[in-house]
Amino acid sequence: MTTMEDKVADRGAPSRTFDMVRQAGSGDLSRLAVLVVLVVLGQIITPAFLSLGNVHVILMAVAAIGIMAYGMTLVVITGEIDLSVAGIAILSCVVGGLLIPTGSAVLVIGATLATGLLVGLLNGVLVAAIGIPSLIATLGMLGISRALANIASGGQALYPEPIAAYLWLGRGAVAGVPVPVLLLAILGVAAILLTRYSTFGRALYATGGNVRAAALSGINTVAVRTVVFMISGVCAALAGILECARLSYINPAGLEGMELSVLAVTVLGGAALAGGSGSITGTLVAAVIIGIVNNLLNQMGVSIYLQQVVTAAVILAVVLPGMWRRGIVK
Amino acid sequence: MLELSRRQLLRSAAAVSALALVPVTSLLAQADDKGVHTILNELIKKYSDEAKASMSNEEVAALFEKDGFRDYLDVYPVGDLAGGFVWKPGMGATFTGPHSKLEIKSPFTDYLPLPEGPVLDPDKKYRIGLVFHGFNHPWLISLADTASWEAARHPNIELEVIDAEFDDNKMGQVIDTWIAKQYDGIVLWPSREAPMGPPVDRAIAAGIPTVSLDRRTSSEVISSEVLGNFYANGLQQGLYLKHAAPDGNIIFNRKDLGSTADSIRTGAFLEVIGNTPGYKVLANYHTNSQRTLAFKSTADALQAFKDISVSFNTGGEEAMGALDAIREANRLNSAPGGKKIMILANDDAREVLKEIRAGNIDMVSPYTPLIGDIGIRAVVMHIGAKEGKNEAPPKLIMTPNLPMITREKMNIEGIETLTPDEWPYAYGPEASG
Amino acid sequence: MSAAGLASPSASRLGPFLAGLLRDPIVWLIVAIFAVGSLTSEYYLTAANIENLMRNIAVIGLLSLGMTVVLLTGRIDLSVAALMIFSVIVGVVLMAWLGSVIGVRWLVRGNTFAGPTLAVMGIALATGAFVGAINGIGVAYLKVASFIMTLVSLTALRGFNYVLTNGHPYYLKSPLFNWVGDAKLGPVPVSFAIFLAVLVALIAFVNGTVRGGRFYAIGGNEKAALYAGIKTARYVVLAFVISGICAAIAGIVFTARLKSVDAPLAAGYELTAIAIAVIGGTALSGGVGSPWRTLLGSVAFAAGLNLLAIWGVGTWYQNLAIGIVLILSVGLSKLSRKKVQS
Repeated sequence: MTTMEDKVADRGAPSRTFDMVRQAGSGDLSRLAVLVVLVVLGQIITPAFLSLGNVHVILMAVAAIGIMAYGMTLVVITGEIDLSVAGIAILSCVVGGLLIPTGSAVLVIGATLATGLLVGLLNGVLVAAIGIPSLIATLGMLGISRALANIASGGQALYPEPIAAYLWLGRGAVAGVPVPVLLLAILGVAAILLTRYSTFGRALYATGGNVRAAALSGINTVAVRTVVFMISGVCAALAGILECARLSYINPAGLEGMELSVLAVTVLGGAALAGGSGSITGTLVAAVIIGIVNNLLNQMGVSIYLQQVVTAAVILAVVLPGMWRRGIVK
Repeated sequence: MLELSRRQLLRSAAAVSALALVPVTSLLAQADDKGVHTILNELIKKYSDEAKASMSNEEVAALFEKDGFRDYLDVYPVGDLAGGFVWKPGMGATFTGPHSKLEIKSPFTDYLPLPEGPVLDPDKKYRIGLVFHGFNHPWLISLADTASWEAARHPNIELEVIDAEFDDNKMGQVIDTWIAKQYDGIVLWPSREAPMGPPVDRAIAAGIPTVSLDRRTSSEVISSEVLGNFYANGLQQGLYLKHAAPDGNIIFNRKDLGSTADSIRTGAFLEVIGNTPGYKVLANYHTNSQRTLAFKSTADALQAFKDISVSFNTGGEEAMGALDAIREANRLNSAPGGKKIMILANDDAREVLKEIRAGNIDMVSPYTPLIGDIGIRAVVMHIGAKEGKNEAPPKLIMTPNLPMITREKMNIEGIETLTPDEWPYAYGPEASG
Repeated sequence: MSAAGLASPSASRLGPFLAGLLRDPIVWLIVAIFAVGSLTSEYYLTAANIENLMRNIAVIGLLSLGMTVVLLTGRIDLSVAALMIFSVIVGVVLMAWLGSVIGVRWLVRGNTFAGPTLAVMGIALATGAFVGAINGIGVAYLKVASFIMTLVSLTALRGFNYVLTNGHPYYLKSPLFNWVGDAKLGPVPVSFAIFLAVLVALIAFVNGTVRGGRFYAIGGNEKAALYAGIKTARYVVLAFVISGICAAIAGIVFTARLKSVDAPLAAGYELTAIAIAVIGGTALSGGVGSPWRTLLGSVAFAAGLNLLAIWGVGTWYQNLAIGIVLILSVGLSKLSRKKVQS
């Protein structure tokens, strides 16, 4: 989402645009500091905090959000926003779920990911080709995809139990590492390589920094933004599979409000909504921070309502210093 | 298994209630002629009186005080069934749910009965509106199923079913629209009591009979309230616990704070266990009927506490979420002494029954959604009373208290429990695999 | 019809204004909805339904008006719906506490508030302004992006709503609440009259005064406005304060109708407010839009939904329609602008 306040910030953009490491660095210190503080706090509050069991629980809780946040981070780097991720996830799972009677894992999982890709493509066309502000386009798509998920499933839950490969994605493990955590790590590495070392990655930051300058320097900003929404859509669909597989339950009413959590993680990860900055590492650290906060609060018996207040405070605490340091007129 | 023949009710004119007669051998096992409804009511009174006198277990008493259960429990009606109806397991019609397309055996189709065919004035078309929340929630869609089935039995009833998606204001707006359209009757399933009072008052002021299902509204002039057996739910969860173990470290997965469902069930549970010293409250979560939230809070609780022995859940979704979390953590048998963690549930979803058969969930106290038809019949009777054609039904329409379901048959304080195979009323899709 | 026509205060623009109305697609949309409604249902143009329509417009319209002012400066306010409920809760809780301090029982039977209503309303308005100011200060002086700042306040307020009420509703019983919620001034519900009053006040301020016009300047080109000597930070704070007050008024009107305030109410209404402002032609980048056009957006939105309700269309299809209309309304205007430019 490029607001007026962000256009003003563009004045200084060209020099920052290609210096990705410096941008990612500004908030990283406060994030890492918060992470360290939380781990220490955690050990004090519950001695079993760093036990394998608890680490497992924390990482599993944020795997899906983290993967969705990777896609969201890429979108935000280009200066856009994707509010439809939870809707895409649930619609994709429902579409895949409708194919469960075929018994084919390829069909079910394939259809799920393909739906995510297609809806992402639609988002990209609306935003990049037609020019609808991404906040509006994805807000509309959120409503549309959730409605379609309900309509297609008739409001009935679907059960993926017959598809072993599907369940494995949520419940399986490779060499003791649960599959969702493995995917979080692998996709994280892939996304880092993409953003830091590829032409596409550079194009993302350029587009986010200053669309016109990027276009003038030969980057096909329409294509870049369309592709990035497609990536976000696939990430959302995959995250949806992980959640549904874990519970062995595809509920059209599920994942309600998840887009806000994903956004919170992305923003906490240092991605500026103006575009042109952000990093996958930051997002991953942010996801873990949120996971730890929720885990600790749950263990302490704090009500979910108070947890919301704490989460809000944590976001502010991490984001504030970063904004000050940047000194952007926002 | 019960032997019943099936009919497509929506297509055939044959009266279905005849099919409700079943072999009564194992099912009329309730020792007294009292019926399970009365037995449960008596137990409710017994434990409530004891709890009011004193609650010696301090942790339980503290939780009871904190969330103000006394106020909610005191105003919750407990009474006899309308018209002296006695319900026995096995009664009720079988049909295909119009919305869910699932096979349904609806237990109370003989309660306040209405014969099939045109109602009241056969030349008049009666427009009735049913507004609820959650067409994509298995419990709620079954509620709508029974209501739509009942309406379809009468050719001169036109039923409009609207899902307000848990927006109380929207439900009020729907009711206002029906008032503007001069509908003949309104049936609603309110999510929360307070916001629904004014729209119901307006409907009544406009002369439209209005009936609430399951949860209550704050309206004092509503035509009738069809009440579920929340009290018996929490009570039986407590009775089972007391019967199975004299002590326990309990984690709570509750519904949203302030809802009738949460207050009455949890409150009743606490009343039953409130005078036994061995029970400890380890943690208390509000997971708002969401499986993922119950999963996460249980997963975290399992890390915080190594000695959990009881998982108390105020709903089917919560119980499934808790069970999944316990299984994922491989902690099913991690209660002190290597025993299995006891999982207590409400809501007789087919999914939950499957887990009871498998021995994973220990008991479920049914809370059947299959009461929509009672609401439709009640509102029709109110319309009839308005037209001078019949007596109005009572304002408080209790639904029969239902006995709990356990893997093996048990007798707990006079209640004969039923096994999953003896319970034909489960709702929701069959979990495959 | 662009906002420019209304942006400059000038005396005799009634003629061109009406001509502009006739050319405006949203006006035709509203006319079309009413036409179709009256043709397809005998109940659409009844007094009862129009009254419902006006009440529906009032609450969401108030939220959208506040949102519009913030959007004009190029910012966004996601906290309006949570604030709407929070302000009334604070009013009740504070008054109940005050009552207990001075020895009067204003909270009867556990959670019915029977104390002075005007005080509750006053505190609610003050709370709205206060939280708005906090949002504004965070955005304008602490340089936090408005999306983030108001996302944070949204999350915190929702949490506080539950914590302050402990999940119980508070019933609001007083003649004044009943009057605000149910009474009518002639054929017009009081809530709608309040909405119109706020609308007129905002039009007068935003489109009729130099100070008000500065919102457009800030939204159009903030650096230029700064160099022109406008203290942009103060105006940004003012915009959020206005939004907060509108949210509080919306909250009062909303809870007066429901005769109660409850933590989970109005979930997601902030997104509807954004949608309506955008459908009415407000640009997210700032500098374009007006309270008047937001009124048109609210009427179109509410009338359309009301029509679907009269037709008995299922909720899922209503949601589908809202999403499609939102995308179409902005998409079509973008495409037509492209055609004009090329």
